[in-house]
Amino acid sequence: MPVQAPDTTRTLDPRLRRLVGIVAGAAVALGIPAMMGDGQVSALADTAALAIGLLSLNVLLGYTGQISLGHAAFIGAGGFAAINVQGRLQLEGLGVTGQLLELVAGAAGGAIAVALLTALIGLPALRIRGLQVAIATLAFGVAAQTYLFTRPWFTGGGSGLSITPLFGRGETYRYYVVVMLALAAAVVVDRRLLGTQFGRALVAVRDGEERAPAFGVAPGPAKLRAYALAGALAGLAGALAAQISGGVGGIDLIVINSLVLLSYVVLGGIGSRAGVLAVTFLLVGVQRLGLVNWVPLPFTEQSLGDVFTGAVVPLFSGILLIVIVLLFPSGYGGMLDDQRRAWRRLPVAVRGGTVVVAGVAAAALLVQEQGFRAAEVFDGSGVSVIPLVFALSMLAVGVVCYLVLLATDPGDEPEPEVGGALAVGGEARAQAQAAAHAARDLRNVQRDLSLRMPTRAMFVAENVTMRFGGVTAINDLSMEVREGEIVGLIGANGAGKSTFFNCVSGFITPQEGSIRYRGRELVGAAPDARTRLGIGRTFQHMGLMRPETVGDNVLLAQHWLAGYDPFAGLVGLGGVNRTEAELRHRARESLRIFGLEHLKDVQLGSLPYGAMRMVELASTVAAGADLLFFDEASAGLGPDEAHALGDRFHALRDELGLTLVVIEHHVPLIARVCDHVYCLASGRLLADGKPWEVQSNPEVVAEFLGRSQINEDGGAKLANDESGRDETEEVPT
Amino acid sequence: MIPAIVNGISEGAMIALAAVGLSLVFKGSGVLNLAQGEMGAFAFFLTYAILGGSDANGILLLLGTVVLAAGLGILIERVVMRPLVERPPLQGTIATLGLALVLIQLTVLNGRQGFLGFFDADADVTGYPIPSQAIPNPLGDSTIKVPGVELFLEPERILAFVLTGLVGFGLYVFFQRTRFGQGVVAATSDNTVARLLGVPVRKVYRFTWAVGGALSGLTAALYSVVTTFNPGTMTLFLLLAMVAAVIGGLDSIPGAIIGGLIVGMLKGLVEFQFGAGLPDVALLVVIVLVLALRPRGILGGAGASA
Repeated sequence: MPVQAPDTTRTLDPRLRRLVGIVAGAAVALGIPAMMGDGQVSALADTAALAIGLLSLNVLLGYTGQISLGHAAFIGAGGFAAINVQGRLQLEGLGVTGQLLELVAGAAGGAIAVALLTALIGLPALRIRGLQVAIATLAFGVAAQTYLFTRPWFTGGGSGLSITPLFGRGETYRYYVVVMLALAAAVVVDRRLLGTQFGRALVAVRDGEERAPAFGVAPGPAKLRAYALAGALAGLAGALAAQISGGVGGIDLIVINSLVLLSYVVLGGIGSRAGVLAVTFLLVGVQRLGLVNWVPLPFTEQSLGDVFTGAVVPLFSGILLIVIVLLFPSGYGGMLDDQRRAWRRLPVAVRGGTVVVAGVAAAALLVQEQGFRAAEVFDGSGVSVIPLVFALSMLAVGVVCYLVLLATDPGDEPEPEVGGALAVGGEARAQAQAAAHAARDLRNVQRDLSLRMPTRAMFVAENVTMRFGGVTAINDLSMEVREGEIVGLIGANGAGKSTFFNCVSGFITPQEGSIRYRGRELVGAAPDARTRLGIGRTFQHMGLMRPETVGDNVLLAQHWLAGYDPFAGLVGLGGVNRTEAELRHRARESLRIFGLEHLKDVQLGSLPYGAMRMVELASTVAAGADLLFFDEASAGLGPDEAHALGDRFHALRDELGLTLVVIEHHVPLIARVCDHVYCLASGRLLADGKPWEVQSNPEVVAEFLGRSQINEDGGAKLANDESGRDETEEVPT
Repeated sequence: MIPAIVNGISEGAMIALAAVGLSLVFKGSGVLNLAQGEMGAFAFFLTYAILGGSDANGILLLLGTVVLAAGLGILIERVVMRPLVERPPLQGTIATLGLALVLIQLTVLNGRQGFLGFFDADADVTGYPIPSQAIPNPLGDSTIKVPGVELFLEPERILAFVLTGLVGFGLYVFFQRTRFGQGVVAATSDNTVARLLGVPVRKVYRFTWAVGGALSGLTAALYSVVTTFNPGTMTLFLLLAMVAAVIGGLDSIPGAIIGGLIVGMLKGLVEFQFGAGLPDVALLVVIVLVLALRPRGILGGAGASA
């Protein structure tokens, strides 16, 4: 099915379109429950509160890669905190104002208390990688079930039923609206999380914790913040759930319920907000609304609801969980994308018609429901007609808004072509000029940025020695890089080049020697601190996040440039939006330098290897470092591409004033771009000087140039460059 | 005080058995087996039902549970874990969560609705808890009196302690002295290299799950002797084993045994001093402190924190 041609005369401003979409959603969400019975509305509200709790779990599991096995306990603790706060307030005399104040105080109390709690339990995440913190969360769940949640001092008295519910009978619709507003706020926070440095740091930790420091991300604090945020959301969920019952239920099932919650997130799709929300409302909502009672079981007098109770639910979700992990690791969220695409491929008339029919059907159902209660209306005791009018008009607003969206659909943007991602030949020349332009542009952006930019620098390594057990990988190496230079580092496999890079970026610490940058000692400083000083590097085996898009990778690389507070970013305070716009612009320009801007929305892992390496270079440039260490930048490139790469190095140096240190096996590239070359052999400095001096040094030739002819205009590589693997595997390379 | 310590140590021995199972699987694949408790519990309840409920012979019950649980481990490895070998450990861990949910609920259904009651319709398999199962004592007396201090030892506690020692020693000999054991050590420290060296990595995975299952069954059968047994009992017991494994370093088998004894003693002492419920709070404090201050535990290698 061909994509609808964009019709510019009928499209709306994207922001307006979003507004219309929100109005449509809000109208339907408010309208339909207006006609439901008390029990159903409160079940729906409960489900919405649970959805907040599941979004919280998704922050940990989906964005951070951490498991919480005690989430039901965290949610319950939020409920108890709210009860404690509200039980002491005594605002009943103030009427509706008092009720509102009490609600806000309870929600805030729950959120803050549980944020502190999860941060405390997540403290070990500062020190350890991997899943062990899950055990601490399980320990909390068990302690909550067997002890904490039965203590009067913790629960605010008795078995926890200690406050008058804020929303009594007949007030469930108001309660529902409050919970839906909270859910909407949680969704906004979740959206902003992924769009700001807070969430990008989490994704970096999830995709590759050991390499995250190269982006300037300190993994420990990032995880700790994630625990606190997840705690705040869980606490909010618990505080809200307590308002209708006046207490916290299911205390004796905390541990098993925690496991069930975790399974819902996996079913929804780890890291997929839409999937998690959809599963919550489809699976839990439908079950709690009693819709399963409507499904008859064939050959029996029973309905699905009769069987689908008690122990069968966890059994069912356990089986589903295993099937999902084995067959659909992206969960329902993954299928949701396909479904949305399939829906969008339907003709506009079909989509519009379906929505109108659905709207009319829903309206008919509502009227019929009202009909059932007609007797009550007529004898004056029951439902008033106003909710029906309200519900129907809201439904109509929803349908109309959707039709507006359909009529103004700008259509899909064409998919970028991935094959032949890099330009070659004459095209490459043109691109090199474009690169210089882009670099100049980036410099101009930089000048009036509110971002933290490092000043110019100089680099000295003195007598560096690095031993692994009995093996001396680097032996008394000294080198110096002057500002604005392009320095080459050459040597056979195992000569110590990548090991030296690892010493510089801080992934390993040399036993002896000093490495200074702008007069500042680097040995002993954390890797992410070095990134923030202005030292950038690429890895021999790719340091980027393959599951993410090219654009997200470059944005992530600028992590430390975003000066705003991570939590402020969630609510959009402190010029966050402006900074984010600047960062996106920088990311675009950095991609343009390497001729990659058209690949912005492509998943990194789907690119050819050479193109991925270029993205890594672009990320390093975007990160705002002024001293760049490129490890085998030309690996995976053809001769023409490598030639174009040389032009880009020049653009970086001449236009951006950057200083480069490159490990290279591609001799023509070294000869063409480098101002100075250091040659290593077995960890020692063999020779250094101008490229032609080193090339003609007999020792160097004897060491490793001997077997290959140096071909000035071709792509001949050194004979011993037969594989990408060299040096130590102890650290990320 | 002394009885509390002695009981703590004997319970610690059972915890150690489960912790060794956790460590083995973790070493093998980086997966935190959340079904470690449930595998044994399910096997125990099933064996109990097959052997005719409360009339079951204690020794048979123990052996049957171990064999069934080992089989369950092999089945789980084949059906669920093997397809996940190449995926991140997070996914394997979540799969074990699914297994735990399924096994707990099958156990519950087994009792409450006679779901598996067809194994013996007349037997007393409906309704929990199952009362403590005494293992027939070859010495005749059900308790052993130790002169000097006021100390009564149930033979089951001694049995648990002896078995833990035997299992620990057996695994040690197996890993150090047999060719396959060496292969397991190689495969669990570096999968790729081991494969290149010709170690049958698949067999090793199956082995870790079989032994993990057997240990889970052994733990459940022994634990059933000293406590009344509910379907949720082993879920809570899982935490004890996990804390023990982390204290030991998570990837170290001697560490897991020492960790188990420490946790058992701690639990016994805290319970003696402060009453029920508080040991769980103490565990929470201990686990957070150990992870924050010494994440590699007592004997953990580099793998424990990676």
